[in-house]
Amino acid sequence: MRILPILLAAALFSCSHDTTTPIAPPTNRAPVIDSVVIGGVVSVGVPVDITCYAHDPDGDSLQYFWRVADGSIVGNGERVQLLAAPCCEGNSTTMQVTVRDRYQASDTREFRVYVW
Amino acid sequence: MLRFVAVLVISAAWAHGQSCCGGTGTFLGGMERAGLGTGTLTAAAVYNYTAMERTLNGAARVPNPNGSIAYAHALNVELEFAPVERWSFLVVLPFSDKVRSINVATGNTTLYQRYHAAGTSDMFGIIKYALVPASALSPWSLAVGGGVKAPTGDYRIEENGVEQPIDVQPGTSSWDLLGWALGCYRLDEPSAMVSLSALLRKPGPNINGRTLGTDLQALLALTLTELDMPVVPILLSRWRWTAPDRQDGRIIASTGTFRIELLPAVALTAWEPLVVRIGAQLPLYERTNGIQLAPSWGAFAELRSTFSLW
Repeated sequence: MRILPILLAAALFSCSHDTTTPIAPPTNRAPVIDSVVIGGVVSVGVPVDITCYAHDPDGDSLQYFWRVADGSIVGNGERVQLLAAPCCEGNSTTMQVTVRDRYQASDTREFRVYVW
Repeated sequence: MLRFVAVLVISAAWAHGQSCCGGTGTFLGGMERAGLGTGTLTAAAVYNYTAMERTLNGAARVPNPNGSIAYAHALNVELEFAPVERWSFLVVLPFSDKVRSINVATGNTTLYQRYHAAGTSDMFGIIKYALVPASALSPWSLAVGGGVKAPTGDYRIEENGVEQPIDVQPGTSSWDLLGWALGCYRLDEPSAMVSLSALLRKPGPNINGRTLGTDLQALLALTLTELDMPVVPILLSRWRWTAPDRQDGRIIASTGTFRIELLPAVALTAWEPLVVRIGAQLPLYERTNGIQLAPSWGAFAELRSTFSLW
């Protein structure tokens, strides 16, 4: 029976992971989105590449977070594909990309995509 | 012996929660039964499964341009209480688990992605008032009510750095107004109950500034009330009109629909006051505005019990 608490503690320890954000040094600078490029005409049923060009002044690795008001985003990272929803035909939809460094400093760009 | 048990109760939960890529709106079990007797409490769990494996353009079936299919599980936990005569209060906490996939051929490759989100959906409540309470003196009864749906559900669930599409998110991010009415007529020969309930939902703007279409659902229910059996058959038909969505005063294409469904069901009353109901959701007719995913079939189950508190 003595081994039970040890096993329990080991199980808890193995399941836990550190989800806290590292403390940013005072000199940390936020990443910068340079441009977002839409790789073609967006129409329903045709996926189009959307690429976010960004850099971090400190050279930190970057994480990309994508959001679209209507439609579907395929893939992840700096380049994704947008698949427009039928409801957007003849209208535009709003997309947003946020780039974060490991200290959660970020830059966000919101843009509209017209769907033909 | 008359069995009013299952008469006014119907069905199930909530289908797919958004427009655009899925059916719109709510199907509210507790809103499709009359108010309770004073001092009684009803607790219920209503499960609803909806498969959306077909795409319509108007009334015609067409291939989905994005190869989309969707499935939704919904569970409504309901509590209804009648503190004073004629008045009752219904509160519903819904949960949902929705998935939609796309499958698009691009050149010689196929693009496949699965979107999934699960969690607590938007809570709603309604206050009911019995204008004409059910009684032995009159075959008629009538109740009305109103309420709100609050944006308590999560609508920002992400996976691998991508926010899941709004149609699979558990919450809609909007405040909605709800109007409700239910009328019943008791037939003597054959002994049966006919009820018609109507639910009007007027959504407010969501997080993206889009206002989902106003939704009107009518449910016609026929229940044989003098069957001396523990299984009571119920035949239901749901009629549903959903107006197109709007954004910045503009109508959004491929939103809005009219749908008629048949919902055959049975209520098991052998363990009263515990009532179990199961049924199917079969589309009879649907006409969409533009290209939309549409429900192909569904099923529901309800577990409900009523207690007298004083």
